[in-house]
Amino acid sequence: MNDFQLISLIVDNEENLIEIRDTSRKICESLGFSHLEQVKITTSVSEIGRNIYEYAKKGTIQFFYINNKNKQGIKIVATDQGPGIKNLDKILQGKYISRTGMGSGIKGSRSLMDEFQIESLPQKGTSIHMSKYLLRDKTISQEELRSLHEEFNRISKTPKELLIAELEIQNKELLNLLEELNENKLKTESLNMELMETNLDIIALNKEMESKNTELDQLNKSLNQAVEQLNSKNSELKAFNYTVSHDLKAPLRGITGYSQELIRKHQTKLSERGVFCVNQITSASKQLDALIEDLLSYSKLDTEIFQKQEVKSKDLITSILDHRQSIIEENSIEVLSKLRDIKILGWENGLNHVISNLIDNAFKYTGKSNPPKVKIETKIKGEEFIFMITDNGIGFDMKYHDRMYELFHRLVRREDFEGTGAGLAIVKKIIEKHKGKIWAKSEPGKGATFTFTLPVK
Amino acid sequence: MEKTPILKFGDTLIVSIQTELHDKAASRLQEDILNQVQKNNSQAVVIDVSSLEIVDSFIGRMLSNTAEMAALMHASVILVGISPAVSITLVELGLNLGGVKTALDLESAMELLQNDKASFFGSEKLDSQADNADEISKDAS
Repeated sequence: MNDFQLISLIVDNEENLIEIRDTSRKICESLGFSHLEQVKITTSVSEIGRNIYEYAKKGTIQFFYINNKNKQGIKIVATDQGPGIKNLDKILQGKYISRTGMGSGIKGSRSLMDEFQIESLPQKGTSIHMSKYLLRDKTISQEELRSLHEEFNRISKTPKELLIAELEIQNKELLNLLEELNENKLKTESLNMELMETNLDIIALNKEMESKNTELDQLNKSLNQAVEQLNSKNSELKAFNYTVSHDLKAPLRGITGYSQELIRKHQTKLSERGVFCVNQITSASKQLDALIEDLLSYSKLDTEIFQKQEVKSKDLITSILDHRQSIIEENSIEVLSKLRDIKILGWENGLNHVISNLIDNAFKYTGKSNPPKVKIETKIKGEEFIFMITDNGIGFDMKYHDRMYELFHRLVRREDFEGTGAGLAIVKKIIEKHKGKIWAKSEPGKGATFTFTLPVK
Repeated sequence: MEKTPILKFGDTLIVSIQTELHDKAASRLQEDILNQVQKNNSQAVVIDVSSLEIVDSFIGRMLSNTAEMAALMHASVILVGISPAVSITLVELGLNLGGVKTALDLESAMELLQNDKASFFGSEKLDSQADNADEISKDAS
């Protein structure tokens, strides 16, 4: 007889039973019992274990490896210090049925095992020895047994408290999770509420936007109407210009023609005062003609689209001066020109008009100086073309500087200097069309300097 | 403590015991099953014990008791998935599960139930035809 104890387990609560069943099955498996035998042995262990818990509340179950000469197997010893079993004989005969309707446990276990011994003394407890033998020869070495012993003990020594604590922790975690979920749910609900409110806001905003849009549409409509009105006014103005240029000019030609005829053919029949009147009429008509012409060219500038081309500034100015050679000689004007060869990308006719006008002005207002002097200079500074013309004429007060460029605004009396007052207004407009600037410096009686700049390209 | 899930499938409850049950859990499962039978007015309970390695006298008794109790509530219990080892052990243990219907697996259990139902409805149909026949004869008279 050589029994090796593999493990000793305590039964003191229900959870133990599952552990004991589990251990039993593992032991049987490692000892080499077939599946059926494992189930049989473990079922017996389960029955015995339950009896201990049920009747004695506490006890032990020990597992041994039996290694006899010709028999190997497992022996299970269950002991308790309970009240003992009263009707053991009846139970073993199968005649007893316990209160719980069972009673087959001990008898069943006996039939499931190969050997079964039970001793039970009232108030002293019960001990059961039961064995099952392996059908085939299978010796297990001492070493193997020891390692099995260690393994099973290691498993069973995991303190139950720890297991329970772990379970409790898991339980707590679950509870926490549940709480979190609930919180999340609440949060989601409040978020939803917020979202709903935001939605309402957005809807309100949308409505406002819509009404604003309608307002905007209306504004746009009225703007379009205004633009249309403006366009119609513009075309009206154009029509008016046409009227001015053609319809007004026609009667003017009539006036001029008839007054000239009066002078040429009927001068002798006219008194001296009559001749004077006719001359005044002729001069006034010419003045009116010039005015209409200027007005026409000024208004044309607004609508005219000009093509930019390369303009040779030096050639342009020289040719303008050449055309005025007779005036220069007649009035013995000293013209000093310092012209550089600068090419400008611009509107040639416009620039011609600007420079001619400025030169004519200079000649005009130096008429009473002795000798009249005019200095013309061109320069280039970076990308800018600079034109300067200085005269020693009557000059002007700088406080009128800005008003000079207004249409038909004159600083001098027509009796003193001819002109319509449209010249500088037209000049300024052309220069602005070139994205340039014009200004002047002067003092009364000390001449004037007009400067304009244009981008070269 | 884990609870064994009870699934409702039409008027059938399906109970799949996945882990070894200790005694209290087994008793609770019994109660749960009966409560669900009442709640869902179930006609049948299929208990799958194929995951159970050990069916000792307590569990066996619990199962057979459950079957008896369910029968009192007009529900039949079918036990499926009893392994050879368990069946041998139950017999040697001397446990009598006489009142419990069994099937090899869940599928055959469902088939069994279907057949039961078919025969049940079949008889009802015959009854209603008989009623009609009565009426016709009344009209004739």
